[in-house]
Amino acid sequence: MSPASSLQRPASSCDRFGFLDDFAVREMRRGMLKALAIPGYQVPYASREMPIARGFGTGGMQLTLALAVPQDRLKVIDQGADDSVNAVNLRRFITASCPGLATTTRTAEATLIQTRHRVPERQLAPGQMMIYQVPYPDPLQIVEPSEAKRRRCHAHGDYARLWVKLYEDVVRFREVSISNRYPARVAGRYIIDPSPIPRWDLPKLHCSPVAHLFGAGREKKLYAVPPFTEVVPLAFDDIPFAVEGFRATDCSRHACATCGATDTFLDEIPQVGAPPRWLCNDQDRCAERQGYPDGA
Amino acid sequence: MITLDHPWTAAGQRQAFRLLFDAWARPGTIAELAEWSGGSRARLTVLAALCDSATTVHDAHALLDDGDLSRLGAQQTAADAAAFVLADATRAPDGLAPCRGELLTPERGATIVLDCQAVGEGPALRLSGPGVDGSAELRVLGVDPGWWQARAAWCAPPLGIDLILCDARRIACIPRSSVVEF
Repeated sequence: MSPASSLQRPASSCDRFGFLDDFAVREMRRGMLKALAIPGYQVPYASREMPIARGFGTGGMQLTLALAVPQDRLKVIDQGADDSVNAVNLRRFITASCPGLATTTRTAEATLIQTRHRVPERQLAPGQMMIYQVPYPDPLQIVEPSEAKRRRCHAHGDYARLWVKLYEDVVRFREVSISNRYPARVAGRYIIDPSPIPRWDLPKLHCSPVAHLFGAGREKKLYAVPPFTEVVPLAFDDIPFAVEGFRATDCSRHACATCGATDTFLDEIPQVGAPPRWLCNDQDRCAERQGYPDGA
Repeated sequence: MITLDHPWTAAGQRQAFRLLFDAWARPGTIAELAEWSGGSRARLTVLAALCDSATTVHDAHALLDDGDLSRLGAQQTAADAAAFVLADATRAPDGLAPCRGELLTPERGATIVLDCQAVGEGPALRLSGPGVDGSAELRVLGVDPGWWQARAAWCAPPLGIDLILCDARRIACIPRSSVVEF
């Protein structure tokens, strides 16, 4: 054997970029490609041990670490906030293990956006990519506890029990009671759990100009919605899918108390002895509308 | 100390994969890999970014030399069991029967790396489906028509094979979900 051929994996100064070892990165690369080729299908992967506990965003973080290149600009959000504990810790770890990777809180400037539970309000553009932290990847989990049976259901496109669950909701509550993780059919085939994003965000996945990658570290699954792909929320002909209305009792739409927006997803903040305040959930969108008064 | 150039560096493979990812997510778009190929043809850059000893490769037309095979580390297997199939596009895929996956495991459908004369030149294909905004035109030169007939027979999404078309410097991807018209 020649000296060169005995060097199966050469060492270089950049080998440790992204924390994951070469075998883990290549496995994730292969998985991501297959996830894009089979939109909505949950590709199993090994999900290596990470320095944070499973369930705290390891799936999204592994995708980010496998995809990032030094010229990327990363944004990490948790429920629309750049400064919550989960987002801060993940961002700190990713930047420490990816030398040269820049970060931003501005959606418009980011090339990689790792998120927990929200899609930014701002229209995304080609050149950007969404990476979701997913707690439960399988929409059938609410109706079938056995993973082996769920896999068979997906294989055969058998989503009857999910439809029955929606129907029972309609009978009991006169509407579908799922507020987040609302199931949606991708490219006319697989039904996905879009992670716990609110209904408000689901239409943003439909024919989006960017790729959406979903990583479930604890459940060891990854799946994807490619750009310009049909994503249709499950609904009945006579009971259409609807997003949150944020309506007051007089049917007017609540506005953000800070920026005045009436076209964003709002958080209700209870007040002592006063009516609740409503604030934009997406911090960056709210700051952008105000012209970034803090220079953020 | 022996050092190896692209495409065998982790940093180069990371950059090459990102370009491959973007091309794969948007079928029909062309990615230029020359910067990360170190003078090799793009097919080797693609394989180096994706293969290791956990994967299987079938080199249908003996395009890899012993050194490349050793550095890739992938196990060589028969075409119907290989995760990656490398082939010369100018030769017909006669007798080739790549793995298409099964309904429970569609991800096992093979990735076929096709070495063409030129990507971005030659006869036009029209692509549509996931990843494509309406339809997209892709030109490839030096692909035996038998490959398109074979692809049509192999692909029935979610089952099927995914194509990476490579020339000396450039790549374009046609995943199984794409509809190809002529």
